[in-house]
Amino acid sequence: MWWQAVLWYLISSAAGLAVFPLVFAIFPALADRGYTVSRAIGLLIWGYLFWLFSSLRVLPNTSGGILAAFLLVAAISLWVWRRAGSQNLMAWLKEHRRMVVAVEALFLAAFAFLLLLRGMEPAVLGTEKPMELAFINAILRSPFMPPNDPWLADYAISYYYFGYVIVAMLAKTAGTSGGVAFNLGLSLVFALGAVGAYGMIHNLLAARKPANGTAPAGVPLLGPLFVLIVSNVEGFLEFLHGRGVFWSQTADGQWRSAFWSWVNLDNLKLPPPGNTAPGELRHWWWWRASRVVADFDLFGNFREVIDEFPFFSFFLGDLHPHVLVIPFVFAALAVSLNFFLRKEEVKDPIGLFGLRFLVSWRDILLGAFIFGSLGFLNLWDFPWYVVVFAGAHLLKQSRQEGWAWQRVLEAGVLVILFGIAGVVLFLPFYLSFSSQAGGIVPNVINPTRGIHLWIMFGTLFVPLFAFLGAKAFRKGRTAVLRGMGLAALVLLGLLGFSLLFSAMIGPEVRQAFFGVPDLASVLGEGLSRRGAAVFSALTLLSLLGLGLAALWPDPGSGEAAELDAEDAKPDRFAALLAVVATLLVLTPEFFFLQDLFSSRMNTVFKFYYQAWMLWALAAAYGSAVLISQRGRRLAGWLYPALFVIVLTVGLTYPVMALNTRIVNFSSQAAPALELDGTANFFYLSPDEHAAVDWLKQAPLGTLVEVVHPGGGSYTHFARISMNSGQPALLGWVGHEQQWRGGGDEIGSRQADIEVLYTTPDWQTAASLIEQYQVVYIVIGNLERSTYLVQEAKFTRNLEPVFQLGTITIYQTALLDN
Amino acid sequence: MESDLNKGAAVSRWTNEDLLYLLAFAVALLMRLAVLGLHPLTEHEAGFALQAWQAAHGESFVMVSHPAYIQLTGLLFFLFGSGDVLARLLPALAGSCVVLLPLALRQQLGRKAALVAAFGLALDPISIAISRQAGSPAMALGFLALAVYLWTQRRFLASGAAAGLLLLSGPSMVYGVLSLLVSGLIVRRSAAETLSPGLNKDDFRRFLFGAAAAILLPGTFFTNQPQGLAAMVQSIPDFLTGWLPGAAGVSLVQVLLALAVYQPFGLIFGILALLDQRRGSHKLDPQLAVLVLVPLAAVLLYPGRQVWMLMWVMIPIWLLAGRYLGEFLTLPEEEDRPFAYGEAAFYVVLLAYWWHNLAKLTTQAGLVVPEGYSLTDLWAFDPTARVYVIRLAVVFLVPLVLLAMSGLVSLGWRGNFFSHGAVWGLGVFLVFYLLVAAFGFSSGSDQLANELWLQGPGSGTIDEMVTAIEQISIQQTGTRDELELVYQIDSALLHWLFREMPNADYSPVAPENSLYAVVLNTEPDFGLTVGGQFYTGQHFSLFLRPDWSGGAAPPDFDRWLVYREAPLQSDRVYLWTRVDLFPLYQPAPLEPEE
Repeated sequence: MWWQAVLWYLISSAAGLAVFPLVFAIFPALADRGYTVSRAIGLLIWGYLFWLFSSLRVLPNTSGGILAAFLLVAAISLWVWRRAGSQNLMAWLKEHRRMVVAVEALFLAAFAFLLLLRGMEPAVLGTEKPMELAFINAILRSPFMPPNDPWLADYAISYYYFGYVIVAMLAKTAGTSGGVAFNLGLSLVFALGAVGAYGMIHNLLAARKPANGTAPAGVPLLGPLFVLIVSNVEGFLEFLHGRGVFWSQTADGQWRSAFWSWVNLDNLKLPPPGNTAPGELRHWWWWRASRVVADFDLFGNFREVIDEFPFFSFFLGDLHPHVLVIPFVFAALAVSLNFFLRKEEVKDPIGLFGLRFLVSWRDILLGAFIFGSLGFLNLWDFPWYVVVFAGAHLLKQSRQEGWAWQRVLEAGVLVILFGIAGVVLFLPFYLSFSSQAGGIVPNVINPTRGIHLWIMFGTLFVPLFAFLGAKAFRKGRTAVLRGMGLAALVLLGLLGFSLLFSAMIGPEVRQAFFGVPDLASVLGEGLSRRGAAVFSALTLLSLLGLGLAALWPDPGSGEAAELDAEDAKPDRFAALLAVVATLLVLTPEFFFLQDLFSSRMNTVFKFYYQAWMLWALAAAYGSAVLISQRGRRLAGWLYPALFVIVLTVGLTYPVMALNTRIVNFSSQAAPALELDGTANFFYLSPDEHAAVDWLKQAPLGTLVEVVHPGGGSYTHFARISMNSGQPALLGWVGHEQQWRGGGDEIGSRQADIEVLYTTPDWQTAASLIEQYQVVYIVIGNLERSTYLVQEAKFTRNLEPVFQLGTITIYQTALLDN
Repeated sequence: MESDLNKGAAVSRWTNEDLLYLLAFAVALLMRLAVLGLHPLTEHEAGFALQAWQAAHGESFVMVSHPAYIQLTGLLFFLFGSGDVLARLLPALAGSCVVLLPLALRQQLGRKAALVAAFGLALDPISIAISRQAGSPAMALGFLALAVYLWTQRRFLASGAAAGLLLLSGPSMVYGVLSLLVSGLIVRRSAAETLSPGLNKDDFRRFLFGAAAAILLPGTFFTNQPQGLAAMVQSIPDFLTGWLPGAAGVSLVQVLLALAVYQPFGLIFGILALLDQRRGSHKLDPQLAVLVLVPLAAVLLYPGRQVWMLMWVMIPIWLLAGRYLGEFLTLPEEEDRPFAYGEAAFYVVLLAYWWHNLAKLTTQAGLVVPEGYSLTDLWAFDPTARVYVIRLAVVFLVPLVLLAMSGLVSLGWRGNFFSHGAVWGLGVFLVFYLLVAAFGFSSGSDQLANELWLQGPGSGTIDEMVTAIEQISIQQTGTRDELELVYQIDSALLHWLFREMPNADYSPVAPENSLYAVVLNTEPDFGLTVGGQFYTGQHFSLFLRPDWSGGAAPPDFDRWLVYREAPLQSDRVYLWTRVDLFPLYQPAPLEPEE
């Protein structure tokens, strides 16, 4: 099985190699010429062509179809290479072999690291991992795209499934099973993210030194360090809490802590469990780090908010879209950075309705493809990375042609152009996708507490404040004041608009979201809570203000200004990332996207995650710049000292988490590294394993298995369809409702499935079989323990095509020849 | 106006040599097309034919392999309707093109050598057998031969088209192309000189254009089946999968056996061509040797090996054999001629006698020595045993006698080990052997099922089953194909057989509450079930598989060698017919009411 990992490494490298000539031509302004994102872009183009042609029924979902798409990618790249001049590329590779070796070593190390991490706990169990495995297996079994929905037969997946297509594509090429592909996919994403982050910092640092165009090989490692490893402060708090720090015992034996009460994090506001040794942590202690922010409704009831960060995601092992998108985010940022650093004027800039742009239609197409793919990978990311590009365009154009409000209009039109083109390129996806999003709702009563914001992002705030502060104050007080003023305007504008919006929505909507229809109560409580969370507002205001100040045009002129301008470009880009990230965090303070949860949980989740990525990059770059400029004075050592503190605090969580994983692994009866996430399923007996293996080879057909009365989400229900790739009549009900924005498509399936199992009347069962075109009916222990199964009718009238131990699969006469 | 003749323009005329090539091609066609529909399709063939039928009818299916066959045969089905003969037609036609290869290389090989090779390939048993199968790899070989021939005629566009069709010919082309590439790398310069004199960029562009056109047009059934492109590329992973441990391939022994049994003519004289260097080596010999050894080594090493892969070995073997035999197609010196004729006759007679004894040996099914007795005892009192032992001795001694005789002659008479007479005699005998083996396609189903080149099981008594069904259908509906029938076996052959019966349904589970006129399943006790009590059944043999007790070679080898007879295992199906359909059926009398 470990040779599968070697195959995946080789295949992904082949994708990168095949497409590097094309990437080399696309990124002339980047020091690495796109080398660090070539694997990601290779997989992207390969996956896109395969998905598109399969959606058009030109290429089937077979290894031949996948290989045909790869050959097409290679052919296009080869054509570009011959046109561009092959000597150019070879000479460049020779000249930059140190960087290439460093990148390859980093990729291998990151890949191996996560393989080991997953190898210690490979199980596809808990949270939404079963859903992700179900997607992979469903895609593997689908004859064409769009792939079958594994949990709603006769429908296609209604989710942003492109990342799963790429994973399944690699799985099919390498002959990997779904359970192994899950863990290999996660490891590959981690490795691609590591080199992508490395490349961003490398390119930014290299652009600071235009004379030699290179940066020390080790410094860009700060990129993957901050993005993927450094974690939030919660881990450090766990460390302190576990050792009883800040706890004191009263005379009556009660443990009290003003500090922990003030921090007010679940589990941590309670004293450390008495039966554990100092330093020992509670079960699943690491989960808390993703639940720092807490919301409460008007009646004080807790409303969960998710605030994951990359290391948590990889440690948890969820192959969710927000994780799958990570490598491709760096590709998108590379497009924006390349544009920003590009010195040559584009030969055929677009002019539309009197507006002038610094991009050509080729740039639009490239951007639309890369940014548009983000929408297909993780829908929430699409607009924000377009905003980054638009911001870069605004800055560059303002610098070149001077400031005017028209620049903002041009940036806005650019966003629209990318948006339209990005949707058109991925039209087959959008045509089959129905979102649960139902509009924008004002967030009046749930600002994030300052302490929670700092626990969440504190390890990034310190370097960000230091870097942006240094940049801003270097430009002078006027720039800082202007920046702060603009930030205040933005904040107040958002607040005002949020309040206005809450006034405009009717009492019914207020009742639905806030629990009361009365506007005055809502506004009063909201303002009161905002007052309590003023520290959070000040933090974001300061960060935004300093970021805007750092983006302000340099006041100087002449030769010094010219030199400074070149050196300032990467600094500006980093500041732009910080500003966009701040806007990402600011937005859910005032608005959120309406979904089935009717809270800002998902909005915070998605926005904070992307904010982490952007802030982490800016923090990594800022740290590299500040440390390199420290000088010999005492004040010059301040930041390095802070940096060490930040790293200590930020690395506490990953170190403790890894320790937990190793201890758990070593304490197993026979610890053995394993990559198959389905190898030792506790909820699939050996008989059911065999049934799943049989179903994997059987012809495709609608499968019926038990549905949990409560819907089954996050449980082991839908286990057969999840593992076999056969489409179930119904799986996790709650998730299907989320994906489709309601239950219309589900109809009465859940009730009908129960009837199918429990009715003694064959005619009733037969009519349901006919209605839903059921081919396979599974009866195992889970079905028998959930329903009062009347199996006799199946035994009399159907063919048991698989029978082993406690599990039987009946096949109806509805299988097509 | 002057005619071209008066202008003195060159007029092409058919030479005797051209006519001989035409004859070789005609022989190849005849051997491949004769009684093409004699046997029903096998399961393996039916899989391909069915996909072609689906393509012709615009049905949705996933094409996994061999798009050239599926698309082009689909076109035939679309134009002329489907059938077993049409399903096998294209491989037969393409397979016949193999005689073009010696024609293409006659300048390099020598005219007589090329002619010998052409006739040899026309009559080669493996080539014929493979060409007579639907979906066979023979198309790859045929298109390759066509591409090479057209290339040497400097018709690069057409050559490219043939090369494009080669790429569409399934996983076999990967094996063949790789073998050629590896061989080409080994021989490099001399191969380039042989095949590409004076090539320029325009020629190459025309070649590429032809290939692209063939891939994009027939390959996608003129854009109706674009998945043909994916099926073309699928050949690569299919080939690579054959390298994995556990790949389903035949044993090494079977491949070597096939080589010896089906190709003795080419093999013996090909080896002689390489060994007997006293006549002087030919400049093509090293290249041909490489072309033999590389694919042969690949077959032996490849875990997923199949006997049909020997077809890539067969061509260079025949070219070598032709090269050797070509030198013996001249009369010896006058003083040696009587001796040569005598030696040839002696060889023919002895070899015929040898074969006769071998054949007779097998009919006695071996010799059983009872316990307590020895062979000498049997010799003393059992005449049958005596005959058996004598025949056995003849079978072993005759080849030794021939070799010894040739050796003595060469030592005492002429320097060459094998003189004209020996070669002629051996050649004549092997020609007969070749013809017998080549005509193997006209043998019965049992013999066919025992052939080593057959992929998958052979068809059993399917024809009889189809006849029975047609008779019932005519009786019930007045037509051959309107009968209501359900078959419960997921077999490509049955799907093919019932493809145009609108009332024939496949169902793994017999639908309840409906009494089909005919049910086809594998349940011998169906008649005893609740639903089956209304049926009466008869069994047929759906598939025939060699039952060699797990061995790589047939248990009674010499019987198999001569008669292709060996134990077979039959997969039975039961045709259950509703009892009321029989003309003399009478329902049971009703019980009188009380």
